[in-house]
Amino acid sequence: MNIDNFGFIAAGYIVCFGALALYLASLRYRRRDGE
Amino acid sequence: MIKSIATPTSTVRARPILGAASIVALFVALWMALIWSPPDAAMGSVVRILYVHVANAWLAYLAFVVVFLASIAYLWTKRTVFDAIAVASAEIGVLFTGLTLILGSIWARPTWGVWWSWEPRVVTTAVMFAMYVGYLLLRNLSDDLERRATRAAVLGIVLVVDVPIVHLSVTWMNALHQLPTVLRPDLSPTLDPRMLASLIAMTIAFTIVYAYLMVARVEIERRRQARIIEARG
Repeated sequence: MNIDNFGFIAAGYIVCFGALALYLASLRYRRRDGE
Repeated sequence: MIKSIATPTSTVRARPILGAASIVALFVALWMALIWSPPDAAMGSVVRILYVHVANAWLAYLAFVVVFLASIAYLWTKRTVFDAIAVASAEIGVLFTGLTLILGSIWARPTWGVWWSWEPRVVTTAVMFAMYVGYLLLRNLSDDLERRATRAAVLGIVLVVDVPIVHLSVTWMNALHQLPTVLRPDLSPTLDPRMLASLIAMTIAFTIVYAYLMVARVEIERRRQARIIEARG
């Protein structure tokens, strides 16, 4: 299967869900750290 | 006099339920957006970026409207829970706005041929991002809980004015951005049904994610407020 602009689509989804995962990790860290 | 209430245990119980619902909703939305939805006739498969770009933009609007409502509620009642809701929603709104700008840029490169364009919606969104980063910074200017919450509430009420400006900017000025295709005044989306369903599914999934992040962030802020009140005696 040939998907046009696959690199841009992959980059978009990785950035989006990567950022959400990082924010989630920061919340866990802050909760554990008792901030 | 500032009023304080304890964190309800219902919010602590809601977190794992919302977490599980977020994962399920995101899997369904990702399948619809990446596999089930057809490529666009003009822009091809790159349209798939728009499902997350638009969902992030709408959730940013929602987050800043929640800041506005919580700010009014705080000034009205002086209950610290509303200040916690406002700061949590502003922080998550900044995350969604930042993602909207980055995803828009990644989409624009293969579609418009540029990473960035000084066109009205992009500029007003960037201004909205900067204003709410300023809102979060302003909160750190004072250690006094009441003063900080009051200042932030006033700013939270004023800043919401940019939300309709961002949304309507494409209709007021000549813009590269397309005109609204879903949130139209006549409520008749001009979109392929499968594309519309994918966009709605992604928006629902992000709304559940927003609810999950809010519960977690408000809980952290409530503990912080309780420590400040305790230290003050």
